[in-house]
Amino acid sequence: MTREPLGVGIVGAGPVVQAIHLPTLARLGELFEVRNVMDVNPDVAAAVAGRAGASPSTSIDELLADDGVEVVAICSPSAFHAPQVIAAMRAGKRAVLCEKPFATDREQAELIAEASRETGVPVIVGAMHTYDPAWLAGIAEWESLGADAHTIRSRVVLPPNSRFETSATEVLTPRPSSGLPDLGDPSVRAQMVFGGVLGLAVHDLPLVRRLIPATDEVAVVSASALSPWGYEVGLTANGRLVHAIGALTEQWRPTWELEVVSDHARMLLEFPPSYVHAGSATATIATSARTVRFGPYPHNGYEGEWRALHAIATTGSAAAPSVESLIDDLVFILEVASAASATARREEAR
Amino acid sequence: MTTPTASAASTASTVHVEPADPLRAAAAAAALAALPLSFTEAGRDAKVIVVAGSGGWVDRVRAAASAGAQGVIVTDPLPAPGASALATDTPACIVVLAETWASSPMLRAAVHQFGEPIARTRLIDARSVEPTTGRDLPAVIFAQLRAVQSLGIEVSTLAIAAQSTSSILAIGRSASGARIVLSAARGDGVDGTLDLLLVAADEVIRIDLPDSRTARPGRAVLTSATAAVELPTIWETAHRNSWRALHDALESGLEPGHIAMFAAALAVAPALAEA
Repeated sequence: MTREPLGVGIVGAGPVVQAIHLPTLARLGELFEVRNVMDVNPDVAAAVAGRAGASPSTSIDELLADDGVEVVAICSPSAFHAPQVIAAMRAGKRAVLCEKPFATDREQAELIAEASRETGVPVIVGAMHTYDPAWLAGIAEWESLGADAHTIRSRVVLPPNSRFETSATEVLTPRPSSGLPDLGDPSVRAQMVFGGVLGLAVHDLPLVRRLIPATDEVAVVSASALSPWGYEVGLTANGRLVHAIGALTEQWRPTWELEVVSDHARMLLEFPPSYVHAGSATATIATSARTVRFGPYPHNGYEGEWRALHAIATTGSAAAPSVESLIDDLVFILEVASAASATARREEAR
Repeated sequence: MTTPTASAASTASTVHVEPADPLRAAAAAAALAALPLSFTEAGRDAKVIVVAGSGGWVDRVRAAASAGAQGVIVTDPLPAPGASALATDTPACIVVLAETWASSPMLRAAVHQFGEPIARTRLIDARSVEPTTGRDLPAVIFAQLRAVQSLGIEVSTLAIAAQSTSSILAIGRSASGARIVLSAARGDGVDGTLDLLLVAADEVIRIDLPDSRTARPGRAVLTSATAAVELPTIWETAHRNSWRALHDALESGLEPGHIAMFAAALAVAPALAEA
């Protein structure tokens, strides 16, 4: 049976929507049709909506009132996520995709969970690595080996975003350039590390949480802001060591790796940078007996999350991740960000 | 006119490998076999004595020097606290360390070719996975520290931030303020490669160093905004590289400074040393 594409409403029309979601949805034309794009800037709303043949809106109420909108993607600044997700649910939409983080604290996340329970509208978080097919294949193999991760190390070293955005689309709203931060200022260091965890490490922390049995004993053991922009964070959780670095540089080579080590196996995930449409990551799992590699697959995690959204919108919320699991991810991320930020603030001046 | 072979053979140093530690002795024998013109095997009165770097190696170095050796090679030295004394109360011979990663010829090449970008580094991240039958994890961190030092980076501070039976994390700073992160995990299915990442504002350097017993080449790549430069491969073990350093030192009479650097590493991170 052929099903009509689901009507999509997109809240927020910044570079992520322009470079990631619209090109992804263009490839999924049998599943989705963009019907409405909202941005507080009417010129941006009109221009981005025009690219997709959609109607523009300048308020979420206007977008939610559009009967053609069946699923909603919340791509606004994170401070607006929770009320907008809840508004979409209460408007009777079929499903909501919210960019990460889907709330800024646990209380907001609980309100989303309550609205989801009351309305029956499922929500998924746009943590694209959790939907990357190489990750999904890799974690299935990892778990089939019975491997128990004791060390997880993340490395993210990226060139300027513009290098990728401008290859994926023609960006309408270029990012403002920022000055050189003063790392002698404790509040600047704290803010940089907090932002680094919520902006970059956030992609992989849900994977980390999946790999370790529990995250109720998290202790940050090191954290530092890196010049000119970056973070270094080390933590232990239930006896496991987790270490993450992230750095934005002017060099051209993107590195996005997640390494997982157990007593008898090692998994290395190598992700493509954000914004590009270059297929999935690769997952390489080595034991003393053999090395197995998964990927790259044709589609990436962005496409994976939209496919997941289609599945839960058309087959029911049973296919959706539990909101409790999303809350646990969020709480873990916020706990790491807060503790690491506090540690970076206390660091002696250099 | 003499042939190159005859000329080189005339400068060969006699060498004796102490058999105390079978694994280290086997590694030394392999290095010796790969330098047939520079070294020739002899008995205990040889010009060069090769001692195992397992527990008690500092005493073995002193014994060899006292017995008249002109040169001593220490194979895979563990971080022994007594090594600091060798830097102040120097033995009457040249001492060269054959270390797991610090002796890699690729590190030397990287220093030569990438010296200025290395000096601009703001983050040094070193990672390895140690086989379950391998060294203690603090010794692995010490070996990483020695590799970082060998890049010409002066390490000012280093402390263990977390440690378990399966993993270890050490954090420090260089004299120029760069963040230093050293970590090791315990696990099988890996090949003992050290993965070094150096991040600066405009460049990244990535260096892979295989363990000291393989001639599989290391890899060093500098990436900037406009290009990437990869150094030529060097199919030489780290041990053989150290043996050549001793040969050169014996010829020139110049002390290569290995013990002083080793002692400096011990001074930065005494907690990594074996009691």
